[in-house]
Amino acid sequence: MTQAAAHYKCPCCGASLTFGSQSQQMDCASCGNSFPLEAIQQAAEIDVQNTTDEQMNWQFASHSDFDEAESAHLKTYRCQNCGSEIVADETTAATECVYCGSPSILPGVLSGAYRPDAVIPFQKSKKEAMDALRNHCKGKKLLPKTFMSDNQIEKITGVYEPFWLFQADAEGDCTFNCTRVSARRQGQYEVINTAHFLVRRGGGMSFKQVPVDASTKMDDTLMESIEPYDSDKADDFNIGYLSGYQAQRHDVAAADCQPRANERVRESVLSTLQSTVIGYSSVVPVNTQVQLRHGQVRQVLMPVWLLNTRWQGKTYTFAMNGQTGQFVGDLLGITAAAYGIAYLLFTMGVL
Amino acid sequence: MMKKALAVLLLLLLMVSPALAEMSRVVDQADVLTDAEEQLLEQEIAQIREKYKFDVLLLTMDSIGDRQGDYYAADYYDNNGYGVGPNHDGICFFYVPQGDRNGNTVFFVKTGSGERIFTDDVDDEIANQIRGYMRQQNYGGALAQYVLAVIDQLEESRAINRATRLLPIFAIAGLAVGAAVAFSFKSQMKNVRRKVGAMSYVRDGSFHLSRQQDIYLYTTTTRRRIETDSHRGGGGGGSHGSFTSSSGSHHTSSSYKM
Ligand SMILES: [Zn+2]
Ligand SMILES: [Zn+2]
Repeated sequence: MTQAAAHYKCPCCGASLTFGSQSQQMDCASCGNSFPLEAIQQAAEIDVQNTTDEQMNWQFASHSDFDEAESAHLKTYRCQNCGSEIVADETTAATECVYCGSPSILPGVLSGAYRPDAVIPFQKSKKEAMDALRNHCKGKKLLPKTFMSDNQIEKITGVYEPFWLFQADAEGDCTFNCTRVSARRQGQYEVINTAHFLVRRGGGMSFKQVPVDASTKMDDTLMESIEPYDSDKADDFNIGYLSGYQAQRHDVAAADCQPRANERVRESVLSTLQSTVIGYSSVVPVNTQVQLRHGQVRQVLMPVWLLNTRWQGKTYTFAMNGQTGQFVGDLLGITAAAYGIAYLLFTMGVL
Repeated sequence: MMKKALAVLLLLLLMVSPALAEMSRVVDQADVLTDAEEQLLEQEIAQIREKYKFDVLLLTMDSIGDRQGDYYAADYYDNNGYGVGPNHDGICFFYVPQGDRNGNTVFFVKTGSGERIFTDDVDDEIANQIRGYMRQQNYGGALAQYVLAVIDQLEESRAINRATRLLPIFAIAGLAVGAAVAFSFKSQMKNVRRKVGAMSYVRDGSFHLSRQQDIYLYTTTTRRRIETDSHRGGGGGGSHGSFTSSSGSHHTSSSYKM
């Protein structure tokens, strides 16, 4: 005799389960598996909880402008070619756009500029940046000798790049389908048992700050490549830091950077929780939920040594983290033909 | 044919579009690849999946105990949901560096259309192409060459004219070396990458686990006849098999001592 319990579905095949009074378990007539009632109840409970909506909200700091005394010492420039807008102090002259190399940059009026909340000061000098660039180009067989002259290397410029820093405590709740496979030999046969588990992990961590580039003039992937920045070393903003450097004005609102911050937080929460699921042959995430508490966003200027150089009609960008010295820049794509030539030369045994 | 091979090679090298964040196709548990090699291989495989609707899994393991390598790889492929389309089309390259039973052996495990496209002869040829790299323990080179060979074979199976299999052997060798060299140049030239996650910004010691539930559900059991090992090994020749994995799907396999 069986008792109906139609609201429980078989985790193996999805058919309805019935309680077997003989087996004292939940039986599946369709696939023949039996399950402890408690396991089925727990699995069903997870299913229900997994349907709640995710909460990843942030609180944006209130906006402040430069005060009058500060404004008196600051100038802005606008590039007529690419539209980038920079802020510099009165002693720093900008003659060429650092983003596109155009010389047509015009002084403008500093109005409605967002005063950054904090700044990470430069720790790497221009000389260190130039050396890093020379090293970067060294020993690259496919790179033409004329690609980078000393004159061009001179042009590397210190730029404060605006970022939104997202800070929050994240709580995650993840479920995984897992299997544990064991095999033993039985004469001429291998007998393989695959045990299936539903695994759930809940936990959280604090993110000091996840930076997201707040300028469309700067390539976001390039900026992520020179991470991380140590934002514990950030100071309250003071225009004294701008001396000798250019500061890019942000043109992406914090709210528009939020999805990328969420994506990175979520990925870290999931992978950390997944790393605690051990002892299984396979682990497949089936549901991830992340909630944020104390989510705060601030604008911080990050130090970047930047060089844009044009070669045969294309622009190549090199960037160094002005705090840590992390240096990046793609040399790839200089000529498609170069790869063909390398290949042919190698085929002929020349190279 | 030379031209076609070159075209395929250039295509392969010029692919720089970032793969969507999803399941890894390079699962290097034995840690024989560098991170840069893994990322490049991931990118190439993402392109294969898109262009040929065919999956490639590159799997290495430190040890799988006494299990038979091709069965293990097939289970891994099935249980983690690899393969494209209803027949889970794809191929798995599986390698265990050390061990009595599977040590230094390369397995090609094929599923769905992979069983038809990668015949025993094709597998033998591919195994010969990568053997040089494997013996030098140049695993990045071996897998780059393997992925190239897979593309070549997929391209060929698409072509109507099967007569193009007459690629002279020196061209294959040149392609192999040229590709590996160009491959390493490419990784030299490119270092701008998107970050995954934000682990470097997690406050030290802030991680806490508040819930931990491991619920046992059920067990499935399969029995399989063990292939005799008598014709395995022996001077680098391959052995070929056909079997059903524990999830019930069909696979064929080739294995080679390197
Ligand atoms: Zn069932
Ligand atoms: Zn410009």
